[in-house]
Amino acid sequence: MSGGNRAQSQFLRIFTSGGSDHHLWQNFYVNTSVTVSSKSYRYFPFNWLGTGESSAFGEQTIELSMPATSLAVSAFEAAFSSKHLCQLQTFEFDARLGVSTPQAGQTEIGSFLGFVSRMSSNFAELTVELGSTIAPVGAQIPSRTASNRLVGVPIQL
Amino acid sequence: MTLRVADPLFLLSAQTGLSAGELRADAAVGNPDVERPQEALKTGEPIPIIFCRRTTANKGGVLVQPKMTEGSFANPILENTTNSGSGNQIKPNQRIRIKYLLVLGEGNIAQMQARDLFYGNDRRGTFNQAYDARAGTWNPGNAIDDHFTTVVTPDGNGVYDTSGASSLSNGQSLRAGSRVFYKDSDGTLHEFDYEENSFPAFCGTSGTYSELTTLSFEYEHTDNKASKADKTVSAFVREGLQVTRLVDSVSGASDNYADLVKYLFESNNRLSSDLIDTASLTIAAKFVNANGFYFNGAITDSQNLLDWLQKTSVHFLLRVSNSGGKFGLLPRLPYNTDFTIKTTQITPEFTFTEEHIVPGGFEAEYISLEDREPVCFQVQWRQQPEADFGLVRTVQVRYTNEAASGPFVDIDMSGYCTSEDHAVKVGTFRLAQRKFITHHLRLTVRERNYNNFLVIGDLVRVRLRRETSEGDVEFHDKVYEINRIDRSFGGVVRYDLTHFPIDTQGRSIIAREVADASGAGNIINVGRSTFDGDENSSTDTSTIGTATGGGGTIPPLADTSFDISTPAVTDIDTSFPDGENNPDDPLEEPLDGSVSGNPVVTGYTGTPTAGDTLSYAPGCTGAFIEWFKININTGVRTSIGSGIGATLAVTSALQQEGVQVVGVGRCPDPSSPDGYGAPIESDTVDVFDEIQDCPGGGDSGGQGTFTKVINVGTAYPASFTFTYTAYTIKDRFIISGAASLDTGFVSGSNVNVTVNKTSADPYITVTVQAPSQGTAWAYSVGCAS
Repeated sequence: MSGGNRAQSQFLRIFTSGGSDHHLWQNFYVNTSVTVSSKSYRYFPFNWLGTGESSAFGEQTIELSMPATSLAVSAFEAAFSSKHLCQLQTFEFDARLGVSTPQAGQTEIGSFLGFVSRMSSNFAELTVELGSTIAPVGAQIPSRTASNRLVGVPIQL
Repeated sequence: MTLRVADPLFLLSAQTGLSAGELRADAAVGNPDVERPQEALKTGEPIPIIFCRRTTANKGGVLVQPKMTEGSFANPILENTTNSGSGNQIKPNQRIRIKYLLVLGEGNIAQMQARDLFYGNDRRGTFNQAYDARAGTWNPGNAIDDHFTTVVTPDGNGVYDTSGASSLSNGQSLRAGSRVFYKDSDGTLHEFDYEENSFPAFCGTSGTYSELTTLSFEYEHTDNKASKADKTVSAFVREGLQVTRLVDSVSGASDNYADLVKYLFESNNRLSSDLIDTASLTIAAKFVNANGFYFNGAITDSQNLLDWLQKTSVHFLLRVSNSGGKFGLLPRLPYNTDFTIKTTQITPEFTFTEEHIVPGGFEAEYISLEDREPVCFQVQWRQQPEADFGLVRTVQVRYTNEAASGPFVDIDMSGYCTSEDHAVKVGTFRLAQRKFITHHLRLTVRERNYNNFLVIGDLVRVRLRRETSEGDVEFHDKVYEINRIDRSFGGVVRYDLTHFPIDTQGRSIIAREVADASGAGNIINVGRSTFDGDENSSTDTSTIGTATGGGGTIPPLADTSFDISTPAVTDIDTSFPDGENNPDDPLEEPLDGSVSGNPVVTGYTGTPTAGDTLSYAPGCTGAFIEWFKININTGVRTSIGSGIGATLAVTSALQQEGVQVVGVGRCPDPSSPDGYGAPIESDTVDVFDEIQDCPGGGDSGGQGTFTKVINVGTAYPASFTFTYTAYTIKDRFIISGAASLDTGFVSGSNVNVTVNKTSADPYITVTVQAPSQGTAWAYSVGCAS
C-alpha cells in the first residue's frame, strides 16, 4: 500500500496552566475551524517538523515556524512573557475517509508540552522554540540558600 | 530549510549512563566528622534537604550536624553550697551558658525525639524545634563578662588596684586582670582565676525561617574551661522532609527516590506541574519500593538538579526520561506487575524487519573497550545504626576470576544508601551492563501505525535477514531497549536502541544477575551502647602506633566483597525464542468492501431483486456515491447513477441483464478539484442467483421472476440447445448475454430450441417470467458447439 493514505493534522493550544485557553490553532483544515476534544481550533499555517522522546540525558526542545503575522507575534510574545504553556499535538488519520473534518478515530502520534523558551523572527517568518525552563535558572539543589531575609545575618564564629 | 541534527550514536553510552565516567577518587560523603567545632551557616550557603524515613526494612535515617545562625553566650558566676559537717560552705563557680539557633533543613521535618539529639558525643542540653519559625525564645548576643560589677584597669606601672573588692555587695564581682573577686550571698569574698574565652562578638540576627525547620539548643557547662564553641550539635533524623508519597498517597516522611525527585521538581515552582510526568514517577516509586532501593540522606552541597539526577538515578536502577516535554523516571530493568525485577521471559513490544527499515536506516555503534573491560566496582554504602553516626562500608563487586587486583571503580552511595543489598545490586547492575551490553543501534523506519504505541523504555526485537555471497542465510536477531525516539513528521521515525541481552529462554540476563545479587548481611558492631565518658584514659602516656602495626580484626571478605558467578552457558545473548507477532496497521489495510469487515452494499437479502434499493456508505458522512453495472462477460463497467449518498433501485430490466453492480464512494476532500477524495469501492453484488456450468445448467420453479447465468462455453460461431417446460400455464423464457432468445409466454413440455450464440463470450443470462398463480416451469441448457 502506498503511504498516500496517511494524513497528519497538527493542533496548537496556548493556555495558562490550570486556566484558560488563549489560542487554539490547527494547520490542516484550511480556512475553517474544527472541533477536537470540545475545543474549537481555527486555522493558522504553523509548521512543526517533529518531536523527540528520550531516556538519554539532555533538555528537549522543539521548533515551530509560521508567518510573522501580527496575530502570531502578539500571541507568542504574550506566551513568552507570561509563561503560558504550549501544547502541540499531531494526529494521523486515513485520508481516504475524508479530510474535511477531524475523524473520530484519528490517532495522536506526537505531542509536546512546554514553554516558549526562545523566539526569533525576520519580517516574514517567526520561529519559536518550545521547551521546559528547568535550566539554567533555578536548576540547583538545594534550591534555598541562606539569605538575610530567611536566616538573618548568621553568627560569625 | 531546517536541518535536524541528531546526537551521534556513540554518545549514547555516556548519555544513558553506561560509561563509568569516574575521574577521581574521593572520601565517601557518608564519612562522619564525629568530634568537630560547631559550624555556622554562611550567607549564600545552601539550606540542606533531609530526606529519609527509618523503617525496620531500610535501617534508614541520617545523622546530620546542623549549622547555627544565631548564638547566645554568657559566663555567670553561680554558687555551689556544700556541707562537710562543719556547716554550709559556698564556693563560687563560673559557668559557660550557650544557646544555639540551628537550621535543620528546608521543609517540614517531623518532630525530633530527645534521644536523637547530641551535643558533642553525648546527649546533652535542652532542645526545641519549630517549622516556619524560629525555635528559640532567647535573643542572640554575647554577655560574656557582663556580670562583673567593676573591671579594674592597671595604672601606668601595670598595678591593679583591687581595694574596691572589699566594698562589693553580696553577689557582686570585680575583675582585675587575670583575677576575679566575688562576694557570695553570705558576704564572704572569694578570689579565683579569670578564664579567657573566644566566643564570637557578633552572634547573628534573626530571619523569618520561612518554610525551614529550626532547632534551639541550650546548655550550661559546669566548668568555665569551655572557652569556645568547640563541640557540634548532631541530630539523628528518623523522619525527614514530609511529602505526599507516590506509592500510597499518604503525607509524611519518605525514603523513596521518586518522591524526592518529584519534590525537587516541584519545590520553588522549579518546574510546572504540567511538565512533570507523574505517571512515570509513580511507576518508578513502586519499582524502587518493591526492590528495596531506599534513599536516606541529606543534600547539602549545591549542584545542578539534572546533573544530580543523572548521577544518582542509575543508583536506583532508574533513568531520567523526557517524553513529550515532560520529565519523569523509568525503571532500567523489566518489572513484574508487582514491580519487582522481572526474571522471566520478556515480551518485545514489536519486531522490526526488513519491511520496516528504510534503505540505509540501520546503523550500529559498538561500545568502546574502556567501557567494557572487566573492572571491580567498589560500592560504598552506609551502615546506619540507630541514633549514631553511620559507618561507611564498601563492597567489591566483580565477576569471578576477573579484575582481582583492579582496576577499581568507586560508586559512592554512602550519602543515601543504607542497605548492603541495594549496594550489591547496583554494583552488579553496572558490572553486568559492562559485560553483556555490546552495542547500540539506530534504526530509521517508515512511518506506520506501530510507531504510535512504542515508547521510551519499550523492548523491541530487530530481526534482519543477512545473505552472504556463499548463499548462506543468517539473521541479525536481537532484543533492544528504546532509548530515544525522533519523530519527524516527514514520513520516517528514528529509534536509538541499546542492546538488551537475553538468554536462551528470552529472559533478561542483567535482570537475573541483579535479582540474584545480595550482600552478606553482617553488621559491624559500633562498639558502644552509651555515649558517656571518654574512650581513652586521660592518664595514659604511651605513644600511639607501633612499628609493625597490627591489632584489630580484619573484616570477613564476605562483608566487603561480592563475587558474581561466572555466567552460565544459557546466559549468552541469543536470539529471541518466539516468532514475531506484530499487530496490523489499519492505515495500510484496504477500505474496499471486498475485504471482510469493511462497509458493503446493503438493501437486499440473498440476491437483489426488482424493487430492492441498494445503498453504500464508505465510512464517512456526505460521501459521493456512483453506481456501476458490470458486464460479467467483458467486465466492462457502465455508470448507472451517482450523487451524494446515492442509492440504486433494482429493476426487472437490470435483473434480466445478468450483471453485477458495485458502488464507488468518495469522501469529502476540500483540497481536491471536485471536492471529493480517492474512490473506495464496495463489494461486487451479483444481480442473479448463481452461475452454472453446462451441461446440466438449468432451473425450475413457480410463480415469480428468476434469473440465472449459465456458462455455455466460448465456442463461436456455435449454438446450444435450450429445452424448456411451461406446462399448461404460460411462462416466458428470455436469454440474453452471449445469445439472444425470447420465447414469449408459452406452454408445453420439453420443447427444444436451438439458440445461436452472438459472441464468443461464455455467459448467457436466462430470465424466467412466471406471473401467474399456480404456474410451474423448468428449463435446461446444453453446451455450445
